[in-house]
Amino acid sequence: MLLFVGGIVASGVFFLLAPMALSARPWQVRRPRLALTLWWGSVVGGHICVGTAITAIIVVAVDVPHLSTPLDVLVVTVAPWLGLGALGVVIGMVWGTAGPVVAQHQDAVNEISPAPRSCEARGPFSLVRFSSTDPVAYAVAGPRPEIIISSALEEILSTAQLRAVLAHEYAHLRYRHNWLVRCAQVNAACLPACLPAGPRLRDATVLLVELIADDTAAKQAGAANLANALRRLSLLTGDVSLDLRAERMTLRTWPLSGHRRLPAPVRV
Amino acid sequence: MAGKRVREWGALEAGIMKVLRGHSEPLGVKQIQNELGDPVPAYTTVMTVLDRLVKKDEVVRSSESPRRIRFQPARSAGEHASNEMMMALNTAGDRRTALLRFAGNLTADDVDLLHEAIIKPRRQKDT
Repeated sequence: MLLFVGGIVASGVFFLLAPMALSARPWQVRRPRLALTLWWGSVVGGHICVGTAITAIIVVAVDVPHLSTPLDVLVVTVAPWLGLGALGVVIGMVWGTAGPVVAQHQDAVNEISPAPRSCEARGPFSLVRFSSTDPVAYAVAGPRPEIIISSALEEILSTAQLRAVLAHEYAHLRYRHNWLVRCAQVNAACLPACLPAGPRLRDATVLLVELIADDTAAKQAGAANLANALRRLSLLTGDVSLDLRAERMTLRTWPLSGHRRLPAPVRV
Repeated sequence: MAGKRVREWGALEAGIMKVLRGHSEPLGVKQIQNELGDPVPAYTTVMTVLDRLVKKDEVVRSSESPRRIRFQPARSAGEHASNEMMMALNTAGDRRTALLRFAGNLTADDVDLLHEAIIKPRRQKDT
């Protein structure tokens, strides 16, 4: 019984208090990898605690031969069924939500499939170039990963800056960021709206994976090159977040050019 | 029958754009009408649709003389495909999670957090 109560209390801490403690804290901008670990640790911990509580009450219900008070009888009889029912609902929601999330992602990828100018196999991914006046680059994960860049992007960035952008997108593919973002989306759809763990985890994941990819690209291709690419795009598009991401590159020191290791697939 | 008429207009617009993109030179109304499949729409119908497309900036009108008006697409097929793609990218149900773009995934809240973490401490240090 203690395990059941403890599990419920702990899950409350993970689902309610941890997101409130983690949300919108500036330190996460400097340490995005640690922040992402703590975020996911708290939500996964909450799910584990709920599972433990349900398991504990079922074990108690099966194992206790004699119950002393009517309250004990009520708790031990009703709680396991409620717990199993809740578990069934969660499984159903995850099952019902994951499919549409994956389909939505696939639809978005299919809808925006550009008419490629060229498609170059680069080992772990294909580099797809298409004609457009908008400077864009994005990573498409899946069985045949792709990094897609527009002609405008290639025109406005120098070779070193383009490498930094490719290193950023390659980091998304290597670290399976799309999988994380999708899981966060399913988690947000399944948890009750009153629990901040759902939407806050989703929003935090999207921001933090971008910052982690920035850090990886800065280490591999040079912080100055990445910052300059971000600033050029910010000037063109008016997106202030790009300027801030460029400014973020000045918050710490980065490896010198002789110590950088640019992955072979992104050397253009 | 308003719904049926709206669908017909849309299909006719698409058909006319397809004919225009299939030619490198500007076309007259009669030429466009001849290239549209059965049922062939009336001359005035094709003119009306072309006027609508000109207003939507999909088609450009040029006139060598008052009796020789020609039409051509405002954008090439490739540019059109790219535009459609960018519109789809920007209006995807949840574009933030649809694709991991280099730019455009962050919200106003994210910008505020970045500002608080980066710019604000600098300003406080300077003052």
